[in-house]
Amino acid sequence: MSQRLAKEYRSHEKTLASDKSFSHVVDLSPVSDEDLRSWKATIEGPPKTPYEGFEFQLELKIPQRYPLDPPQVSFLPRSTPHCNVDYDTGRICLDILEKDSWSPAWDLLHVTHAIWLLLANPVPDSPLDVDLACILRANDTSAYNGLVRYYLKDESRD
Amino acid sequence: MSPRPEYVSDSDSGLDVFSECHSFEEPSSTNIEILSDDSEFDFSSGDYSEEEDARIENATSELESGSLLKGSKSGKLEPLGPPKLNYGCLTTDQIYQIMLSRLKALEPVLNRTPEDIIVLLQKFGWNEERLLECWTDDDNGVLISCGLKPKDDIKCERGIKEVRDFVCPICCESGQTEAFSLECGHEYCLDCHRHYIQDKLGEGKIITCMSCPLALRNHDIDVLTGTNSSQKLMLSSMKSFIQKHSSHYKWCPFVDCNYVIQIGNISCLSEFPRFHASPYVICDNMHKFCFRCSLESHDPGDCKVADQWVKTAQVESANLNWVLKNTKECPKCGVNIEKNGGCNHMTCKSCLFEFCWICERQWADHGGSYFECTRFKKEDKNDPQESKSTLRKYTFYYRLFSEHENSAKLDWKLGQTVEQKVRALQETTGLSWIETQFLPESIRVLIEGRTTLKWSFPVAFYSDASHNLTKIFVDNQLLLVTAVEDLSQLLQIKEPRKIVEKKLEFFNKSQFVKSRERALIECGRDLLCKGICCPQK
Repeated sequence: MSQRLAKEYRSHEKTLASDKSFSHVVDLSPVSDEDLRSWKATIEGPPKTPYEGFEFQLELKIPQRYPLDPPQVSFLPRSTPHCNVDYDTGRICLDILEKDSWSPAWDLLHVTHAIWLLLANPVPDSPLDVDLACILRANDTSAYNGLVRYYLKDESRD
Repeated sequence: MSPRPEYVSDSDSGLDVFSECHSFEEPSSTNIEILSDDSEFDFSSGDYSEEEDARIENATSELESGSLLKGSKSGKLEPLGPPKLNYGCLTTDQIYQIMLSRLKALEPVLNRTPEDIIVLLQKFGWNEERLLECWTDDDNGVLISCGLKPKDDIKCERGIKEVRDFVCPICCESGQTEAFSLECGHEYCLDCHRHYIQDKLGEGKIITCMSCPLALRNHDIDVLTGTNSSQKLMLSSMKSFIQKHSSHYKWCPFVDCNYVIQIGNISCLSEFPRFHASPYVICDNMHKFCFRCSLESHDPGDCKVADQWVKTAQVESANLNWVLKNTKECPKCGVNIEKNGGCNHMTCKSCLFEFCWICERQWADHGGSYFECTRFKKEDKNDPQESKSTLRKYTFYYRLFSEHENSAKLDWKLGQTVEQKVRALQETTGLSWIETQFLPESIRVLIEGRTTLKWSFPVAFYSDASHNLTKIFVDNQLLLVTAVEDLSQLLQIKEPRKIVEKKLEFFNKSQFVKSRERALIECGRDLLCKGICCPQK
């Protein structure tokens, strides 16, 4: 299956350079060319959300059985306030990253894109950050957005 | 739960331990009758299970009145009790046949191939009513949502195709010659498909194309894997089938036992609580369990007693269990002793002191009034701390309960070596197989007796200790303890010749255990019926 990652590397590079619809993915590449099992990605915060104007780093760990098993993806610790992200560890709760819902037909670009979509569409029913989820459940979007921005600014000051 | 009795061979149902309480249904003709009753149901009616119950009830009552006039006569003579259960023990293959027959019943309504119906039923968790409801609402929508029909146009034929120089988009291996796709045209190599299917087989859910919701049929799965792997998928799907129809079917709860019990006349299940009896069923591995609560046989207590006891035990005994499980000290010399045999008559290896494992007093002291130790002595009668004494009372009974549970476990182990013993008997004494069967039979009686004894302690715990009937119950308990211990001691004999010499004793002692057991069960039921034992307290 090592062919697969090499090919993904080539094709993603091409897609990111040419395809405008993936312009929100700033970078998606292996951490080093020696090891294709460890990738990093940078995505822009989706427009018209409190994440707009910020960039987010992702770490992608590729398991031995990839693409039969899903990659393990997380944000950098303490970088992303989001109700489906564990703020302290950066762990992400997303169904397609679980073995049951994962399909081998998806690739790392799909995954990165899905996480970008998750930023704009939080799912408060399966939260990792309970406080943020509670605010969302109460339909208080402005409080949620405010809190997210507060965290983000706080983080960027450090 | 006790381990399964490995020593029971399939063919020895000639032993009459169980035939007293149950008539075994051969899982052949009778079952199919029940089956057909099961599977024809009213499509127009929403509430399906009640209708079905009623129909089965009708069918069975017709059967009784029509074929057996004797039945009603003898019914008057027999003491009042719960109705007889009609049940069969099914293998997973038979369950599969039942699933297929249900599927056949749907065929004319849905007008699809059986393979498609399997997919539909899997999607609906074997809930036929809901499937039919949705089907009448919007059959096209159901087909699409189950992945049986592509949303867009059909792009190509399903199946394995020969492709020249194919590069699979999943593994990216080039130069392959074969690819598989469904009508959606998402082509991947066979290897990737195989890996993917193997991963999904255990989930019991529909396996879809890797890129879209189109479903693989069982045939596709078998073609791809080259074996009939779809059977494995069916097996995991069976679990959801049985769960959905749990009023009719139950898995045997014993470890590693794959039998399923099917009840024919489920309407009579509701009769049991009235008599404080439990609907016991026995699978073909001779595992006896309660169909209502899936616990092992818990006579003389009813399901309520057992349930309450188990719940209390879970809360109270986390610590207690740990303490009790460990060794005891010899009451005389203080050496640590581990109990490694079923009998409660202990002899300390170091000082040869003989004592009772339960009360830790000298064995000889038991004298004529054997096993006074199972009687809970009501000390501290005026203790104002009611709860403290309840806990003490509970601890006392729980201790007894777990002692006998442990003994029963050791008996199971003993039972597992009985096969060898029987063979040794045959070799050394020249007895025939059938003549040596008293040995496994005695062990079975012993285990049954111990289980009953074990579950009699919860009954005693929940009973009003001052009542005369309770005293009688406790006396009965003592008698059963004596009988069981006697038999247990007899079974410790290892020498084949001695065993043969004592054959008659084996017979007598097991018979005695059986009759004492029956007496205790009746007495316990009496306590429950008269409300002297009520677990709510």
